[in-house]
Amino acid sequence: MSLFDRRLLVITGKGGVGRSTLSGALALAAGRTGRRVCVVELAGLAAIPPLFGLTGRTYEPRTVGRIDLRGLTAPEAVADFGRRKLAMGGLLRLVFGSRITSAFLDAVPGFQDLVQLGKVENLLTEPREHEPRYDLVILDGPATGHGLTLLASARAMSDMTGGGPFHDLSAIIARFLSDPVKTAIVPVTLPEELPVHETLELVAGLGADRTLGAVILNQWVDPGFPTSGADEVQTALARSAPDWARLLRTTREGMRVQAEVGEHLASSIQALAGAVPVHRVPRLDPHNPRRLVARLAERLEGV
Amino acid sequence: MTRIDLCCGLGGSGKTTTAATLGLAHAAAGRRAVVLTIDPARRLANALHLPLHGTDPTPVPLEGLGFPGTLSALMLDHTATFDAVVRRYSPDPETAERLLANRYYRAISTRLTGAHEYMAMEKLTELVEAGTWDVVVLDTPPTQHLLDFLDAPDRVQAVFDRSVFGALAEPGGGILGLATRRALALLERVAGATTMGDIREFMRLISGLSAHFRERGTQVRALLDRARYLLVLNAHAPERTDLDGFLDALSDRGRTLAGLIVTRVAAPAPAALGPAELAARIAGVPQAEAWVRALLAAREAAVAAAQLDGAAADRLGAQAGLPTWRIPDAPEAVRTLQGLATLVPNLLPLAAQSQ
Repeated sequence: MSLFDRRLLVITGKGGVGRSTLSGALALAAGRTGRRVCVVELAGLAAIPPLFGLTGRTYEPRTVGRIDLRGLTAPEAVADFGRRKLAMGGLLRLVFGSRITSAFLDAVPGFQDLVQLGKVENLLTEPREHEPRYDLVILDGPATGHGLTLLASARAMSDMTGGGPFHDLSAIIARFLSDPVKTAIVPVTLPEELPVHETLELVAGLGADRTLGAVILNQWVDPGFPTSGADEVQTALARSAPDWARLLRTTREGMRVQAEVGEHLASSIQALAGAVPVHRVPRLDPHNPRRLVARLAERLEGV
Repeated sequence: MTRIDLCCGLGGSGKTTTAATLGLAHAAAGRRAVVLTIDPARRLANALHLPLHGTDPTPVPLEGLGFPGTLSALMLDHTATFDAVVRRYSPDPETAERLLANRYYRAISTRLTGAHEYMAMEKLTELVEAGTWDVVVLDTPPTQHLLDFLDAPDRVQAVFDRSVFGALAEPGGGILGLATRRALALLERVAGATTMGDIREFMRLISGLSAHFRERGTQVRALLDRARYLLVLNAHAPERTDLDGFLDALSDRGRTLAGLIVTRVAAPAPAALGPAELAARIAGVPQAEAWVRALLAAREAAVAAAQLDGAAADRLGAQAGLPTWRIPDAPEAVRTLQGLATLVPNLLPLAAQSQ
């Protein structure tokens, strides 16, 4: 099953691994298959728009080619939720309009996550009249630790509340997130010790009702060195050109660490989650984000 | 008076390594420094000889480095810190124990928005009050937004403010207006009576600590007013940080940035050699021609990386109109204290500045 046949991809990973860049690249790759795609950021973040030549964040979609960009915040999602559930409109206004109850809701762990996830689920299952019908939503999720909390928030809220609108909303979201046909989790990681360690912790913590779609191993370095002679070159350069020897040594050390943790990642994923693909994408010049995303998208065609 | 250096930056910016290096630089400048760090990588924790659990700073063994000052380090355990606050400031031990056992407290002490930041501030205040340090270097928690920690005292205070939450502790709603009582009744219906029972008990118990939270809030704001703010950015991904937005938000809060620290700046590339010169230097190795091509390509990449990273650092410094310090890309350096010490010269002028 192609990743792009799902309805929702939740991209997670430690800060700095390229989560937003890969979210953008996956959207671009999925868009090229003819699908209508929306990339969503949460909590007022706006890391995706610069990848498409835009700045800032908007709750309503902005379209670039076949891709829509949206940046959600909890207050906007709450207001949207109130408008949508018209029958509840008056009552919700009562709850959210009260200083006391809204301060309480802000303090409820997971509430803000839940209302934003509710919007994502709405986009896919019951878009408003003027909203496009998306084949795929790519959610640029929060950093790993919080990523699990986010995914668990719907279940936690649905368990905590016995009935009523929050219960119904959270139960619907929990079902959607645990449907292996509709939703897949895609962690992004780097071929370095700490990010790989965190990724394996995330995968181990996903639980039976979460589907791991793929793992993306970002920033893989391949200097294209010949298959033999490295030690001899190292020795020769140490005598004749020490600065070149330093370059070779640090590059080889980097490749050694990379191969080691890459192997550890692949075998551990196999053991934890079975035959889940690990897609390697190369380290490319990061200083031109638009070109970077386009080139990564080429590597992600057909995933 | 204890100085405070605050390292701000996104996750992955190299903030924690920078905070540790800055702490070492202060020790090199002759100060008694302490680094308060949040969730360091295991390698860095090992390099600092940092125990995984503890609520007091541990001295970092600097023997052999020849630094005139000292460095201690502490990894923030926010749950333990929150529990310690509850034990210390509850009106009586029974209240403390019931609070610690409350389900809502357990959830809120780890997951409440702002709780991590607030506990970092609680610890910062303790360290400054101790009076034994010349400088505290604070590695701020990995927040979604760079300035969340600045607003944390206000946010946490708002949660524990009796005027709002004391009301929830009173079953009948007490002095509340009709609209609020109806809203609460509705909330109870959607949230469930057990949950609300837990929350009511929590609110009643925590109100005994409200004086402490109010006083701390005032102290923390005073500390934040006189701290030196430094922004840490990764040279490989400078566009991740909205620099202008950060500067605006900081100045909205009446604070100014003292400088930028750009991390992971690529090392200088080796001096140029032509193909023939390079071939002569590695003559006789297997696959010599292929090696010449591969090495030339590797140098070209290193030249481009050094140029781009340098340009990124220059551009950021110019954009902010602020001094910029650079830390070279040295993934091996963070494995040992000696390795970290090799990065100290990059931050020594910053540490030596009078504040």
